[in-house]
Amino acid sequence: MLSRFFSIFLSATLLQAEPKAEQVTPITAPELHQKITALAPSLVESTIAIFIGGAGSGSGVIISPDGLCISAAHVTSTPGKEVTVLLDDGRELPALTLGVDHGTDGSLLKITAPGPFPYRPYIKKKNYQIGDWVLATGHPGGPIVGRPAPVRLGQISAAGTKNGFADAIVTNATVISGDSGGPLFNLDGEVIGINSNIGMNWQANQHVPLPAIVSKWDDLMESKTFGASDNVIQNDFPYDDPYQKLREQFLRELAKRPTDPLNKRPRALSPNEMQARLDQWEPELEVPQTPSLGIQVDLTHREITTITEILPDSPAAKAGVPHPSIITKVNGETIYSPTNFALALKQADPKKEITLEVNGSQTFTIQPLSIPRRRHFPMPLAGLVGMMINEEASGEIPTQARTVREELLNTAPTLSNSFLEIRRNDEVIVHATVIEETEILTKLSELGDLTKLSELTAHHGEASSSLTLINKDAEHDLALLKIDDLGLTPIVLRLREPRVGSLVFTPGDSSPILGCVTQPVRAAPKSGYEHNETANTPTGWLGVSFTPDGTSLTISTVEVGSPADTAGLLEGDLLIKFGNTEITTHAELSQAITPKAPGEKITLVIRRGEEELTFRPILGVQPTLTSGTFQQRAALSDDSLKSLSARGGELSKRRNDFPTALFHDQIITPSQAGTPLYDIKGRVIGINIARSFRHRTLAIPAKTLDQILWKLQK
Amino acid sequence: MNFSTLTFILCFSTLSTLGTLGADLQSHTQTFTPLIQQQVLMVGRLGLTETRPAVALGEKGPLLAPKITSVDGTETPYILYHRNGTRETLEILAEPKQRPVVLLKRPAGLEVAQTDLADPETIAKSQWFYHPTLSPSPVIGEPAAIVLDSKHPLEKEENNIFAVKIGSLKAGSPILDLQGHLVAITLPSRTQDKGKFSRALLFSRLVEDLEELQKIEPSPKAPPHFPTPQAPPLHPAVGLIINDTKQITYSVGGTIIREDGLILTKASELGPELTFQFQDQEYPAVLLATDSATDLAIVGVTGRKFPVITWSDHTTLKPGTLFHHRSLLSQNAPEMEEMNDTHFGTFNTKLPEHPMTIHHASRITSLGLVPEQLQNDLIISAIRAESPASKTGLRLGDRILKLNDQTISNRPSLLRFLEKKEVAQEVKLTVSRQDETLSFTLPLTSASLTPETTGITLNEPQTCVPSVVRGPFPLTIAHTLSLNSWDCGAPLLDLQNRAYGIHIAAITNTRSLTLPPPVIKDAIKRMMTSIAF
Repeated sequence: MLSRFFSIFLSATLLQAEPKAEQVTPITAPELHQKITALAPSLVESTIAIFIGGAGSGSGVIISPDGLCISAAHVTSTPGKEVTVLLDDGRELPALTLGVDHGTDGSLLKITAPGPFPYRPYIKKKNYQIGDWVLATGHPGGPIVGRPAPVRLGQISAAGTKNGFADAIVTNATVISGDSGGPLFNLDGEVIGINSNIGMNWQANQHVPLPAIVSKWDDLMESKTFGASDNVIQNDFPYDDPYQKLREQFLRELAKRPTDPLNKRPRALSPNEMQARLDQWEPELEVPQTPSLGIQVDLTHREITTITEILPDSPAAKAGVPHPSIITKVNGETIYSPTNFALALKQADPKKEITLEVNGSQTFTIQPLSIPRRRHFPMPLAGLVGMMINEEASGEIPTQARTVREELLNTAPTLSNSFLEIRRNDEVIVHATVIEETEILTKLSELGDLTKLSELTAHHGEASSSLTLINKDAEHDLALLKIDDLGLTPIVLRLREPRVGSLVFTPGDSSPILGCVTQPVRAAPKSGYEHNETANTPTGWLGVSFTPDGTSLTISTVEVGSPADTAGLLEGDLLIKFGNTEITTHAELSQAITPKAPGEKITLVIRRGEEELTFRPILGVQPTLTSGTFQQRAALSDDSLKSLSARGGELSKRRNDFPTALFHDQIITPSQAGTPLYDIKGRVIGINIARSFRHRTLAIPAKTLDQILWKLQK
Repeated sequence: MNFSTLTFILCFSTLSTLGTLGADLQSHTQTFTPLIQQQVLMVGRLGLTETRPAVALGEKGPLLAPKITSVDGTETPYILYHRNGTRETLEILAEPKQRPVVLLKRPAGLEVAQTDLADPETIAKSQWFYHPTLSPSPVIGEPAAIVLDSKHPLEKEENNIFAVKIGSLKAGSPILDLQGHLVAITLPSRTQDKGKFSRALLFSRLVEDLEELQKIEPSPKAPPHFPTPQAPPLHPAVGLIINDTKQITYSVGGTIIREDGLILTKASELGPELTFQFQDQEYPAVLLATDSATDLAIVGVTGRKFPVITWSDHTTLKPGTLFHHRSLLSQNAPEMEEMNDTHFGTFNTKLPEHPMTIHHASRITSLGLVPEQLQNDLIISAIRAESPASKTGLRLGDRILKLNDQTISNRPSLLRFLEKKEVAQEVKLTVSRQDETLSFTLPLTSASLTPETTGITLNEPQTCVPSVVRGPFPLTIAHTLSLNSWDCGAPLLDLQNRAYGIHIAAITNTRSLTLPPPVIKDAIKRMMTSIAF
């Protein structure tokens, strides 16, 4: 039986040829750690967030000191659009989108404010291969004030070439919504890819290869848009795959499929829907042509081919072929059976005349019609199954990882003496870290009903013990438990906060084997948007957004209830003056409004139709994302992050709302909470507390643990 | 014999007086399948289309059912679908957190064959197991398929856990021994298992957790043991139609129906260039005719005299009859080696052309709009075109406040409200839009029935490659052979290589469809005389 799992993943064939990992010099864990921690700050500095209107955002990377950036086509979507980008140092600057290539999902944009800007170099030719370590940055879930772009570590499992979207770099550096357009770096800090899309499997993360974007560089710099507006892939493949277009069209349809409202799960297409889709695609595809004569044949006779009917107005009818009659020759070839006749006809050139002899004596010359070879589908539908239900990326560990894994395993045996399993009825529900010989620390909420602790047992190898509660800390979701002396080794906390990019690992059956610290220690609030407070001195807020019109400012949205709305501004109004100054660009307006504070009255002159009108709105306060109309969007974002994450695996139930957390990207299962988090020297830098999202696992940092333990152990 | 008329009393007494069963596995499966089908109930949850098999434990014990969850976590009552199409709400007795099952209260007067617990001592020695599965597109009145499975050795011995050969089974399904006694429940499949087997948790472990089950005594009877049946050799009248030599999975089986080289196969699996591979020889082939009602096609080859298939009468098939299937791909591609195992499946039932699905049974009335849950609000996210709702002033984004005078803020309460109403009854829908409160009166319509689909979803792992065209077909035979899309076009064969039809659709790893000979003969007749060149 074939064993396959399925996910929404833009890969083609069912049986992929095994990629050969080329010989690479394996890197050791300390070298890897050193490179990543040294690079991380610069990578984060060059990462930008791009606001695309409404609450939408994506990411990008600055690749030149004067502010040229690369992002994804589906982030910037149209050339010549004015957008705002957010830099790592907090500056919000205007930028102009340049070319957009929907075929490769790459795009360029340029920051229009004067530089210089922190930037990273990018590759022009493919210099990466399967197994290479990579780092991805971006703004998952949208930018958050006070959170630098998290750094994710991964390895390449498929090394895409210049075909971009259709032939992506696949890595296990977990990215999620919001990371689109963000960079993928190699260990030299060069941009090698742009985050594009993900499969449900956490290890299926796809990035547009830079060579694909580079190959279209000139067109992109000229602000062209191409690759078809609805994301159909251009046919530019290195190999001749006649079915590729069909596959991609199918995938587009797949994306548009409505979900059963009662069940919210996408279902496989019903055969009728499938048939309808395939029927409508067929004319666009090049199907082999075959001659059509218009004769009806009876298969019941074996050695002869009998014409039973001549279809009216057909080529055969026009040639005067009689019926009933027996076909004896086609283009000089003797015909005996219907199969033989069909084969001969198939080989004939449909554009040329066909000589048909019937009854052994009468010859007719017929100009046939050229029709698609009679088959509904140009490719067998079995081939489509691979797209309908797609294969996950291989979970193989490339060669480079083995060296690192071996090193870690060498330290592992000694480490395993410092944590144990907590089970209920033979099932491991959570882990715990050994604090003292008879005291362990674990995730409180996984223990369940604390009055029923007697149902739980702690296990380490063959030894086991019952548990009693010493103390708990609900804020950090920790519980300190007492066990018998099983001869275990207490951990020693390394209190110093690890640098961003530090390699971490969790003991046990984790895949991939390594993660890294993604960002500085900070709070993990309940909602991603609780964090997004206004800056200390809020700028006055008007509540409009604009469409670019070359040099003018036409209002595209007026926020309901905003100062602009109250004052009477409408969509379509063209802003021409601010106070007494004429303004023509977004940047000019921004500069004019920024020094104004909430409560100040400003004067705007707009053109509406033929008239010029003056309005005097009183500037308001930018709504925080925990009030007013933004609340819904924030909630949606958390919900969508959660559901996007959860389909790839389990998330912990209590997975946020921690006063301080260490963020890393090692994948753990919810029951692995409570395990110590180690750096590559085997020192404990935290205790894993929650699998939070696809791209994020939380640990309580060592320093915080130290303080908590001091409280709990009194 | 019409097995659906067996009553509760009859099967109980038959079970207890069974003497000689017949010396081989097939006699056993043929005897027991109809009896075990009487033990299986179809259970679902209000508002969800998923249905799962449940069993009634002991004489008066509760119903054991798999936990059914929806993607967004909404909890609605469990319902029992009776064979006559009525539905009944079930009360939850226990819902253990760490187990994929739920205990439901047995409704009074429920007619079902009881399921006893197997004696834990006998499980270690058992080799064969049954597990019931339902059609993925739930059909009222269709008997559960009783899948025959065997034990699979586990790499690491785990307490109270064993494995069966069929991989990626849904969690919470009951696993029965050959007597139909409950042995274990399937556990959720793990990625690391790679679909090669399914793990199951011994029922004795579950009994320790749940008080309600401790009163039920296990049955002392040990199940019999049978050797693996001998699979017959490859059928002489079967070959492989290859579409693309580079991609061997783009092929389909072909059954020879006439000695001068007419081959019957599945039409939708054919590409423009065909080659027929037969007895290590390759013959150029050409498409001659297709039949859209059955998705069959006739392909022609020349060159020799071929052996021809003979059909057996499918009406003689008894539920539980064993079939075997041998994949033809292994000789073409070494990576297909693992599929060379012949495997066995059991006959389930004949399917009518338009089966009654649970949607017919649901009779849920509808407002003609789709509500989406957003935290504590129900927001209208779609309005069905040409529904009464579309003619009111309702707009997307409106937040549902009340229906008549009842506050509605989540889907379960909306469904409960609608369930009690009748089609064409008028209701007053109160919504909030921005800061306004608006009311609309509209008549209820009938729920739109899910269009014909075989119900397999993308989110669940499958261990087989399903056919793309999976229906609709006229009369078909459903059975439990685990086929892949390229296995279609080959005949359905029993242990004596008798052919009962031609495989027409691979659905899931425990369900495939076959067209029986009368349907095939009709299609052939249509195809023989209506081809045009």
